Amino acid sequence: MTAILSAEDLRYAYPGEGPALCSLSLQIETGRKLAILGPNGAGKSTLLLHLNGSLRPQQGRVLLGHQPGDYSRRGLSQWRSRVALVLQDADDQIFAATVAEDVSFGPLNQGLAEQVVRARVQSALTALGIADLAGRPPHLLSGGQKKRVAIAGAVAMEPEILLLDEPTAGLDREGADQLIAVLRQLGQRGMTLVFSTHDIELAQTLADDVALFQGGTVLAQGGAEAILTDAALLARAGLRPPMLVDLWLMAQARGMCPAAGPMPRSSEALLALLFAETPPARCAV
Amino acid sequence: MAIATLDRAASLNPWRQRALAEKALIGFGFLALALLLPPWPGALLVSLAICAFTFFGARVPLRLWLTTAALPLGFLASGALMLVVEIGAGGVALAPGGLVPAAELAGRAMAATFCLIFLAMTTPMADLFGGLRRLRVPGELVELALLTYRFVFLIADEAAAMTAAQRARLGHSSRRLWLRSTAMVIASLLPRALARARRMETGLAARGWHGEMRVLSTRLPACGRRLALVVAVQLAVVLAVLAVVGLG
Ligand SMILES: Nc1ncnc2c1ncn2[C@@H]1O[C@H](COP(=O)(O)OP(=O)(O)OP(=O)(O)O)[C@@H](O)[C@H]1O
Ligand SMILES: [Mg+2]
Repeated sequence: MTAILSAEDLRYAYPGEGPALCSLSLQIETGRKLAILGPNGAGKSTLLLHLNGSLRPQQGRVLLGHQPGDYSRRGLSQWRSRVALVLQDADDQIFAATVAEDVSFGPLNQGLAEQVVRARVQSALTALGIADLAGRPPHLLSGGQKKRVAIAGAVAMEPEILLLDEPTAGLDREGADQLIAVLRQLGQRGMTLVFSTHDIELAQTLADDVALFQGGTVLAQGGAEAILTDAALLARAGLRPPMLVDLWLMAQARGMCPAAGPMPRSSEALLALLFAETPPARCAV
Repeated sequence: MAIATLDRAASLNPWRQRALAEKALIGFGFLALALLLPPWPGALLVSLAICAFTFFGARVPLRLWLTTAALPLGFLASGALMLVVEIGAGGVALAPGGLVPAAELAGRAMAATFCLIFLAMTTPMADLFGGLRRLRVPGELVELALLTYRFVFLIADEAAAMTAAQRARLGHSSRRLWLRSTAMVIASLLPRALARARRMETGLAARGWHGEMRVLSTRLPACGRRLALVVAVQLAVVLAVLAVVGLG
């Protein structure tokens, strides 16, 4: 595995504040889904803003492949073509008069021809399941719909890496589930995904890898299973293991399911583990 | 009447799909007639014609139209009243010779208002901006207008959310509290709007923005026959007015 984007020893403080990031290092690997997991104020958003060159570190550097980030006008433009960022608040990114127009903004900035842009807009809207909203004015959409418009705007740029700040914040259960399905599909198409969240359940559902954040630095980075099952480590970031993992570990301790094997990612998967021997006749609820 | 309601109505209107040129010819064409023709009977005929287009053509719901028209018509009525009456030493009296000019002004303004309402109810701002761009209005101006328009909604949302939050904490329970709370909203709206603008700049930069807001817009072809029909109606209005004025 090679890192396509990495941060080396970053330090950043907002003017007049203490450091928001300090000696932070992180690797993002091609084709994987990385969760930036940490409590409020840990510095997740600040890190994402560094990863697409919106903020410039006061110390340390960001590497694209092996190349240090280029903060010139042209460099940033290429950087942002490869690394797209979706902000937490969709209203900060949507501006055009209709959904389709808005989604066309990024690809047009990339200098693509109109025909290509049209096709990209269409496929991004379809991928996000909002093709029927194409002609609607964005300010009349619901929060979840706006979020998808913002993501479609990034996807239409066909970036190698998609950074998402709190992608499910403000969405209801169904909206979040739909979004998770969409993100999985994008991952299957080979897009590298990085998302910040304080929702450990989301990290468990979606992430391949987890970087655990606390106080502006990475406490640990590794496979989702290794991090999310380490209760002591999670406690240092003020988090608790997901309930599913809790149950799974307890079941293991009581010999109710095999002590090894991959972490279950859904209730169904846990149920299947627990009742692997006993046929599901009596537990099919 | 919230501006969002107006825009929603316009984007759901059956004439939304019509070419901008057709709607502009109706709206601005009759507007010009309302301003140029002698108010009697010009204003009346223009009002009738534009209302026919509004209700029978674009099928704007009457109730929506009434709520929209109420505010400007109210202003108009009170403005006209000011012209008619005169407050002097002897109390309130009719201004000598004030009646006819006041009626003419009110009639003209009313017809013009109907024309603008027709446009507002059939054409979302979005389409108007697209049209401005096609007319080669300088891009910077259109972008400025577009961002301002977006910001009106954002700031209105922000103000509404703040007001609701205050109301929930009883900030509006008396006249004095209301005044204080409203002053607080106004005072913190600007810094909030600025912070928002800064975040928006980051957000747009992340999408490769470098100073130019280019988007793809869909263009609808205008129908020559419908344009001709509109011009015919407008000519008929002009001829009718000339005939009446000539007779009188
Ligand atoms: N624009 C800003 N100006 C000054 N300080 C800021 C700004 N944005 C964030 N901070 C501070 O930097 C620190 C890290 O903030 P950041 O927004 O990166 O955290 P986060 O992990 O994204 O939190 P959350 O989960 O609440 O979004 C916080 O202490 C915050 O107060
Ligand atoms: Mg954040």
